[in-house]
Amino acid sequence: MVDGKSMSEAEPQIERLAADQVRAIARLARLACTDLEIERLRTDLAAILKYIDRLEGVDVSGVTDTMHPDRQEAQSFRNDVPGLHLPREEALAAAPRADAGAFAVQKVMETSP
Amino acid sequence: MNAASTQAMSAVGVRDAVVSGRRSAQSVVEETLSRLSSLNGIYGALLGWDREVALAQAAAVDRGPKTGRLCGVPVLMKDNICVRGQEVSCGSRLLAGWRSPYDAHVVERLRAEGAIVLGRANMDEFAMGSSNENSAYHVVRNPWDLTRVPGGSSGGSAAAVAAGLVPLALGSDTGGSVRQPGAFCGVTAVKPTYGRVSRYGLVAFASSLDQIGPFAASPADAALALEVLAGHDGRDATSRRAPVPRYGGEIASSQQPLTIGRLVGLPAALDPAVVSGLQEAERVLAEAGHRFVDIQLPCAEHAVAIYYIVASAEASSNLSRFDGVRYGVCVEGESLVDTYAQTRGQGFGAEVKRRIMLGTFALASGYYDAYYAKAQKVRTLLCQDFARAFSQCDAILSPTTPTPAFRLGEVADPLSMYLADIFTLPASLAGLPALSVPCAFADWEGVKLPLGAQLIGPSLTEGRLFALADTLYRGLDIASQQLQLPDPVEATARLGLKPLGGEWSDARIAEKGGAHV
Amino acid sequence: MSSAFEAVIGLEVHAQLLTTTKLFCPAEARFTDVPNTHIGPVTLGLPGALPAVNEAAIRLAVMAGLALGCDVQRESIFARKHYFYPDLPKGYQISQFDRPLNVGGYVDIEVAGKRKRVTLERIHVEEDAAKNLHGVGSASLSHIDFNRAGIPLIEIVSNPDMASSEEAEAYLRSLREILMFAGVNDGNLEEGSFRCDANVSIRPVGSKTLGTRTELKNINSFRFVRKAIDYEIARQESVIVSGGQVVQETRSWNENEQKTVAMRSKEFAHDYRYFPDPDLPPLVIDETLLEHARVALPELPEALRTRWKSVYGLSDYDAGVLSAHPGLARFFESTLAHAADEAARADAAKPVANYLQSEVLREVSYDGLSAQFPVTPKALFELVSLVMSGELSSKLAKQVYAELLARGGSPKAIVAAQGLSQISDRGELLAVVQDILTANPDKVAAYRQGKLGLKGFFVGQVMQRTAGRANPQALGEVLDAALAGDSA
Repeated sequence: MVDGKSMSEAEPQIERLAADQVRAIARLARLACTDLEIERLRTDLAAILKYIDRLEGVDVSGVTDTMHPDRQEAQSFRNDVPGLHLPREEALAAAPRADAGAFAVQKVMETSP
Repeated sequence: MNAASTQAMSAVGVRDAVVSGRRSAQSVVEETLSRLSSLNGIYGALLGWDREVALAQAAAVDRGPKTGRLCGVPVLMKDNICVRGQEVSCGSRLLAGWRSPYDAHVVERLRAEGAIVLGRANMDEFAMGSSNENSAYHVVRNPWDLTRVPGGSSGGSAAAVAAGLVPLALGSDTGGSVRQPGAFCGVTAVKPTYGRVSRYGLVAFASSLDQIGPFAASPADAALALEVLAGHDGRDATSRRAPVPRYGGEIASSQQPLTIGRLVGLPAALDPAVVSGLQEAERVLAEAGHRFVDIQLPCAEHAVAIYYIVASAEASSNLSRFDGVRYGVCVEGESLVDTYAQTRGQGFGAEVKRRIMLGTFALASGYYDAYYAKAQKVRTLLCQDFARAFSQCDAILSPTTPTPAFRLGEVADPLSMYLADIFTLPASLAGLPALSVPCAFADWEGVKLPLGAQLIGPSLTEGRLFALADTLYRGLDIASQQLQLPDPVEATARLGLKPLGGEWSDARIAEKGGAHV
Repeated sequence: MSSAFEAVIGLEVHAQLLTTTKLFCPAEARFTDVPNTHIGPVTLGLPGALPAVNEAAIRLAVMAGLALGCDVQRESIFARKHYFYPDLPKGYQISQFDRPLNVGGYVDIEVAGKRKRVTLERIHVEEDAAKNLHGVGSASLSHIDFNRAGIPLIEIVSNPDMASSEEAEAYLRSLREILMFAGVNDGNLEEGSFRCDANVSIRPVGSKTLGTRTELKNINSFRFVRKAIDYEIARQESVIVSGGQVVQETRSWNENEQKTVAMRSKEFAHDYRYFPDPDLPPLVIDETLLEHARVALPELPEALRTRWKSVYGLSDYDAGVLSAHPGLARFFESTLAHAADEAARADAAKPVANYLQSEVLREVSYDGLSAQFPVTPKALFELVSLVMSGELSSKLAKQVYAELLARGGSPKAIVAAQGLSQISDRGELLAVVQDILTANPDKVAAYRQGKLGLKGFFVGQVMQRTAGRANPQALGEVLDAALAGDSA
């Protein structure tokens, strides 16, 4: 394996992430996780973040972000003309739950932000 | 059974036979289907295929004018490429049974050129992985050693071509997911310039990195495939407008001597077999008149760190749409919030969750600048490294992977798995074209294991890379080595392996369709 | 509000752009049709679907920026805003974050005779969310219609420059009018194509620091805006006066209870995790697109009214009435366009304006930006011209107009066919007058002896004989002369 020593370096990083922090991220990402999974994720993420810390030393002052590699020459626009459209029945057939011609979910108690 | 005799012909060979009328597309497809029936249980390369749909396409080709560049050639789709009416699961439980209502751009292109769009290749779930062990369905076995991984995430596509099940397969490459399994399985595998092939209809993993690329035994076949796949598509805002050359023609035309950069200075523990394989490759290229210089990409050592931030961040966003509302499997919880969490928590596998977590963290307020923004800046430095390198050379040669294929279950630690991508990640981050071509079949603990050489070029120089790869392919006589594939039936019996997956019946697919668990 | 506090109000307006298709999906942008009939792979966020930017949406957004005096950015960035909600098909909304299309800008308002400039922070482009349906299907479920999902929006974010609900309403009315005249939005608050959220806080008079603000939603009429803001100002004041603290929260106007109600907050705090959308390269506005937008931008209401007043001499009131809807303003301009030259146009402006208001307006119907008129601009101009030239009496003009409404056609043709043209020829009128005087010698004598009220009798007789076609002014002169005995 490449650079295999970084794993052992990561091991003392117990405090890198707290379990509650991992749970908060899991909630934000809407991922139900068991306590065992949280613990596993905490260890894995801590090791990965430890490895990623290497970027701290790179001087990026005055450097712009690369959002798109090898950026394209011209703006690409779509003409305002109707194109591929899905029949309602076909779209609804794929839904886990549909009712009254609409996609349906459990009654929403919260509000859209 | 003699493996060679059951293998698919080359794509060019099939096409010529069908166009000239020596063979019907239907006979080609019948033969392919029969190979799949008898061998897929051994390799596990495909998640499914539809016999009737394949034969109907073949019949249409036989009735038609037979002018397509891939007339009658069966092409296998990675299971993250949308084919109208066909299941697309991305190797995930969450999307089991979902049938796409539309064709990906590449599928339209293949159909327009008379190809037979056939089957769904196994893959790491949502293209995340380097071993195909993250498939929610079953592993894929490396045709050269059934106890080893085929690589990933496009492991099914690579194994299917290596095993001769099909002449061509498509994969998707985000950080090496075409090139690495190509190297592990001993086939030619191409990651085109970012934007060269439309991503419309490719289920996104990391949008600024994803590219669809072909697998073929030879560079000539891969060139033919890319010729068909490439081209502008207005539905993908990152699609490039540059005209598509005849890559096959660039192989055939006489080669100018080029300067090839030998990538040095990357902190990778190379297996000695990889070192000697690469030396052979250099020898052949030098004999063909090419010159070598040492080049460095100082920021490439950060490629793994950049990649796992950028790709995970984009993935965490791209995979937000899988919420069990409009499609896919839904696991109902106590509230809508809980339903989302249960659907995603139970639907995604461990590796996908790990990356979503990492990406969510990297984009979270308070961390964005330190992780995501920082990574994108170092990525810029890496792009500048490439620009400097290509002022000194025409293409860069490196190993595709530091080692040959590892054993199933051998690498359990995620970071170790990530670190092995060090050679393929830089070209992905810079959006540059790169391919892997077999350069050696090393004797390894009693079996032969393929090794790949990677060629990286400046933007839109796929033709140059195909020409160099073809020089290697011929100079190293890879074709005859590819034919020495172990007999799968004999190997299965010797190793006492049980069949994988097998042929999925329509009934089984229907049973899973749109399930509400 | 007591004099101890002042209100600080900023508005966020979401306005749908009038395109044929959605912002990123080629499905049609018709959100009031049968639910889930205008959807495509991109609308639904299907696996593998990618956004492709609708050029018309961007052109309209640039036009809005130009109309509102913004600094249109030659390069801006689409960013993803993440949250999980059933109305958001991808788990993120494609919007703009730190680099919006339009920066700055302003809207001038007038309240109680005082003019004020409300400055804008930004206008950015984003996609609309799907809509929760009410009153359909099973009561235990929420139903989602994706027709609205992906329709292009601009969000116009004002600075907190307003100090009263009157100013907020004036701002909204001006903004709506500008967007409608620019042709980018149909201004329909009821159907939600023009939606407003208000950020409201109060602070002690003279204080420079901002108080804690609340965000008001569900204020989908001008009346609600006033009521909701007034209620909220009073509520915050009573919270502070009673020693409490205003909580930063989102509140919804409840029209039935006439109050704002805190909306149930989400299970945990939002972290939208904005980042540049990797599917979309930076949005580049080149000179060509900018020029197209400039050319396509019509004259805006304020400029229109100023010109009407200075060139045509219209009153404030008339200019206001005729610019109440872009369709009406266009009709007025098209009517005047039939004048032979600039001078004729200026002469006709007031009579046309009057005729529009007195007769035409009650028969006009509006649908979004289009307006249906009972007559054509050409016919109206012809009718007014006939009256102006004295060829048709004002009274008979009503008859011609009624005929136009009933059967259409040209006023000239109607006048000719029905013999309605006015008699202004003095010789012709004199002949009639002499007939009448000859037939009524006793009344002529009485008139000449001082019963001047008999003039009305002679006029009535002439009008009866000419079926009302006599030019009243000319008739008066001819009659006076005849009765004076000049030619009797």
